[in-house]
Amino acid sequence: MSDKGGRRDGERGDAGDGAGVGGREAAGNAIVLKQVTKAYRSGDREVIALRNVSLSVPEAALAAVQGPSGSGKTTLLNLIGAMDTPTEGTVRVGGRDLSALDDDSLSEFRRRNVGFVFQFFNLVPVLNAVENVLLPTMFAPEPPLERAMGLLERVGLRDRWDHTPARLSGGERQRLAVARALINDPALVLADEPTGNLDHETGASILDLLEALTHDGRTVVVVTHDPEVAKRAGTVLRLRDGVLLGQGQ
Amino acid sequence: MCCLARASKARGARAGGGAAESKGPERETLRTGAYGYILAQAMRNPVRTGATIVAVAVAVAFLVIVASLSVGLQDPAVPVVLGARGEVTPVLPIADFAVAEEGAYVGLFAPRLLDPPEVDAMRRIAQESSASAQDIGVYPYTERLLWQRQLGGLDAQAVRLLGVDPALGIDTPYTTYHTYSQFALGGALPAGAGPQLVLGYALWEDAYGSAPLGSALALAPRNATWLTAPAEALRSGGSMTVGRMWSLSGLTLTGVLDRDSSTDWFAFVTLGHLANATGAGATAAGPRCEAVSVAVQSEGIDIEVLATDLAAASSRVTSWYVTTAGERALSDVAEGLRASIYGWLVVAVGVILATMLLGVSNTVLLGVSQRRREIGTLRALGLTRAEVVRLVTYEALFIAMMGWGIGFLTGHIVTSTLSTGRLEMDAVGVWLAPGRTVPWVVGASLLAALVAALAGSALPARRAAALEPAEALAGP
Amino acid sequence: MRPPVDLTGPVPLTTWRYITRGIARRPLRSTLATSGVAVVVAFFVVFASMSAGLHREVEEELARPRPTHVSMEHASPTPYSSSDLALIEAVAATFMEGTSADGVTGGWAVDPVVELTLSVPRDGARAVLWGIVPGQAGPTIASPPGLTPGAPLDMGRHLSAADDDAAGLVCVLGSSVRDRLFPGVAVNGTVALGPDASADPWRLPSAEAYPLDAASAWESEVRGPFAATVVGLLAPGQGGGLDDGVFVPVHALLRALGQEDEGVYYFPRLVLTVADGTRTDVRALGDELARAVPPTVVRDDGWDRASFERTFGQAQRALDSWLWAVTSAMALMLVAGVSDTMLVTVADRRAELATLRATGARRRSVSRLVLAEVALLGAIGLGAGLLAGAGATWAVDALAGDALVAPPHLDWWVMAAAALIAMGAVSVAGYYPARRAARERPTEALRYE
Repeated sequence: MSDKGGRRDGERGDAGDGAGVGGREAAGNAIVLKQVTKAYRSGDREVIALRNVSLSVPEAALAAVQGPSGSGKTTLLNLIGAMDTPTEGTVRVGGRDLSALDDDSLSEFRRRNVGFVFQFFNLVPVLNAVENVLLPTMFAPEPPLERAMGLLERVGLRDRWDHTPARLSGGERQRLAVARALINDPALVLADEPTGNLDHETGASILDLLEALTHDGRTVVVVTHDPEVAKRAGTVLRLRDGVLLGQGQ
Repeated sequence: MCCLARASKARGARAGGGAAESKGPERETLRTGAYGYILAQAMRNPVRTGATIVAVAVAVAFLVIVASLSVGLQDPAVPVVLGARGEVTPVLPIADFAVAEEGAYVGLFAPRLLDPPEVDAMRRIAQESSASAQDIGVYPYTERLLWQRQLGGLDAQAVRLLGVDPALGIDTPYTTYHTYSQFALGGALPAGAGPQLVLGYALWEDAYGSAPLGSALALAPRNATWLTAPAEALRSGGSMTVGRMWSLSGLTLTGVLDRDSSTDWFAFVTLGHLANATGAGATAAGPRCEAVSVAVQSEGIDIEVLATDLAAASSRVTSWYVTTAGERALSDVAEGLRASIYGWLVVAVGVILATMLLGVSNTVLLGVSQRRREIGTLRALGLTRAEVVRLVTYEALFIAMMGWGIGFLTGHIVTSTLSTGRLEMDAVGVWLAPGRTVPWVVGASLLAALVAALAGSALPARRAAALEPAEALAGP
Repeated sequence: MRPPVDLTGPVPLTTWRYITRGIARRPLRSTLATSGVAVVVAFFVVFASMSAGLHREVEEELARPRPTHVSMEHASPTPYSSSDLALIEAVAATFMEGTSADGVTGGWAVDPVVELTLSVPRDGARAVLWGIVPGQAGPTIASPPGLTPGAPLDMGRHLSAADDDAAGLVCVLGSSVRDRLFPGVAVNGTVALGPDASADPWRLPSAEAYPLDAASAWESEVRGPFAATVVGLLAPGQGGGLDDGVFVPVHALLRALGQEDEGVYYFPRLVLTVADGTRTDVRALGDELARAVPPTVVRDDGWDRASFERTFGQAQRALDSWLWAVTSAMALMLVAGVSDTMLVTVADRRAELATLRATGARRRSVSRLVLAEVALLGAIGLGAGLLAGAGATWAVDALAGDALVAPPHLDWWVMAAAALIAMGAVSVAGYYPARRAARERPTEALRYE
């Protein structure tokens, strides 16, 4: 249980949506980070993963977080995805100040507002496709079966609802993962190297799928080291050694 | 319904494509929710899950068997292992042994015979010493040793004749006879001094070939293998004794007692008849007797004082003894046997619990270790730490309950099959006690399984809860 | 990437550090594994000790020499005569010779015995007059231990053969009898042996006049008193029979009782004493003796060896079968558990193991590494289990040892067997994980770098 540091007692978030980077109009920003620093303890050393990062991502945008290994992209993803809290600074997603939330509230927030897509798919091998899609609803009173089937249809896997991941190709698995990410109808979808384990062509189709999500009004953030992916994004955030180099098109 | 509609829509939409139609999933068959998840996870490593369930089942079955046996052993009838360490007579079947839990006996003997007024005097003394008439019984009688079945050794069986007051019956530490005793045939001795005979069951069957009621029977020395045994008198007669041989004949069989080890080898006649036949004679007040047994039920009586007083009631009482039920109930070794069984029970139960705990704990822990990424994913998907703990605990409970179910059933079946109703030291040893699976065994075993599950999953659950969602981002 | 340990050459001592660190890295997992071994070992130790204890007890009992007595009593009013005695001796001699191959250890003898009650058995205290053959162990059936020539004396001496032929009666007094009936008497004093003088004349010295016989109605007679000279006083505290006894030479007593007629003695009872009757078929002997001089009733205190062996043999077998059944079941579960654990550990350390192979370690060394770790876990568990088991055995012995039929006995064999079981199970458990580890291909190390 690493540091919950960063939450300073008594601090409230901005009354409004907070000024975006570069003075941009705040309204319409799905994600806003203000002077965020994240430090870890690794052994007996302190590692600073993010250093005074401030950025914003507009709603319904396809954003790419780009940078080499160790640049802090994963950490950034953690913070945006309400998986962790910053040591310093504030993280606002959808207007909510995440740094003020405790662990359970973070989980709740994640459940409702964030969908994840992982590099290695992270599907449960012993469950079939529709069961995998329903995984996040494990503790819900009624599993939303129709919605799940609808999502499968959307990603083109409806016929294979009873296939286990082993019987799906790489691309199909990732599509299944996307369907899973959408089961709780999140406003934000985060993808960590979604094409990293796929060949070029399959990867492109996944990107198409992710881009299509923005047409629903969802904000999609993709962490990648692949410049091809970054090219397709509307917003590109470049990180190196924990510092935001720039935010651009 | 909706699925079907959708399916038909899909069919319609792809009519041209000729793709294979798939029927939609049915809600009931899907493994959704926490239960479905853990079920699927259990199937993931069926060997591990199965082995753990078997381990729990074996432990529970053992627990059930051992507990049922202990219940059986606690039946009021207690096994008696006679003799000290190393000198053992075969354990007697429990069911045959009735043990008086309380009370004591005074036996008084007068070879020169007691007259009825002296017996009455004893009765008065006895009743004075006790608050309630029910607590004390005074039984005049005369006893003869008829014969011994075998020549000494461990299987020696003495056959005895008791002349008793037909209205009172007799109550001694080793045999009882009442008008209300259980009879296999016929009934009790009628009042008076008639030549009636009541036999114990084994004696009737063995020596008299199950003769029918009303038969005329005799008590007399038998052939060479049934030797008469005047030995007791000779040995300790206190003098060089001279004896006469005689027999009782022309007795009418009036009743046969139910099988009971306390009466099996006894014959009962009326005191009056025996007195007449042996020349002991009768007075105007009634027949003479050679002994009196005083049975004391109440614990509030000082038995030693009573015995002394009773003995003083007649100058012809030459000896007396006191027996308390406690002496009869258990010998040291029998108590030791019970203690050792309890000791083994405690050890066995401890080991069982430890095995269950370790087995479940290990399995759950390994499962958590191997699923770090998956648990991280669940967390990333929004499950709280508490919910992760719940999942791990459910998994442990699942294994434990499956194991308990199988184990309990197995244990119950084994107990029922093995328990023959008798405690015998035979081939399978003293472990074949009359077992009963009583409710507390159900509860106890269930509790044990639950405790094993909860305790065993506690640390692994904490481990799982401590995993950060970031685990999901790790490589394989 | 530096390998955690260098296995290119012969396996060096530094591997132990690797192994111990490996175990320490996963405290919970290792604890569970060692605990499992410990529980199985402890259980085995406790129950095997009980079995060993029982076994030992049985062996001791079987080996113990037992003096055995066969008591013969004439079932007719006419007592035995000296010629009956000779006949019985002859029968016994034939029997003993016939069975001596089986080991009738020590000698045997047939002696006449007379027993008379001196005083009323009140509050358990009897006084009995014994006519015995001087120098032989006295009667013991249903009576307290006999008077052996070695019994400790306070004063004076034991009876001797010469006393038997003497004109007058001499006696040796037990301490309790002396205190109660003849207080203050000393050696060479005279006592009157007869019914209790202070007692009511109607009170017959009848002791166990009860139970009387059915087939004959006996009339009791009073004999005596006889004057006797005290030659010895027994030391107190020798047990009821000796403390309550007055011992006179039997032939002298028979003469005093008028049971001698021209050199032929008549006596009611004979006792055949075998020094070690453990292997004598006492019952068969009794049968033969009874047939020799009917009607004779025989009683013996023979030890039914067959019954003992049967009973305890069965108890032993029962205990042993349960012990091995449960131990096997637990060992199987242990193997499954440890094997599972090691497999997961090996899987966890894939990268590490592959690195070892990539840097030149031989397959065999890697598998030995895994086996060594398993063995260390097993050894730790074994040690803990032996301690716990020994402690538990000691506790059982201390708390319930007296009550148990046989106290548990912690044998070296038990410990050795436990060690064998533990290390055996652990080795079997480690076999497959070790193979898995050895099969790791070096390329695996580089895969996800």
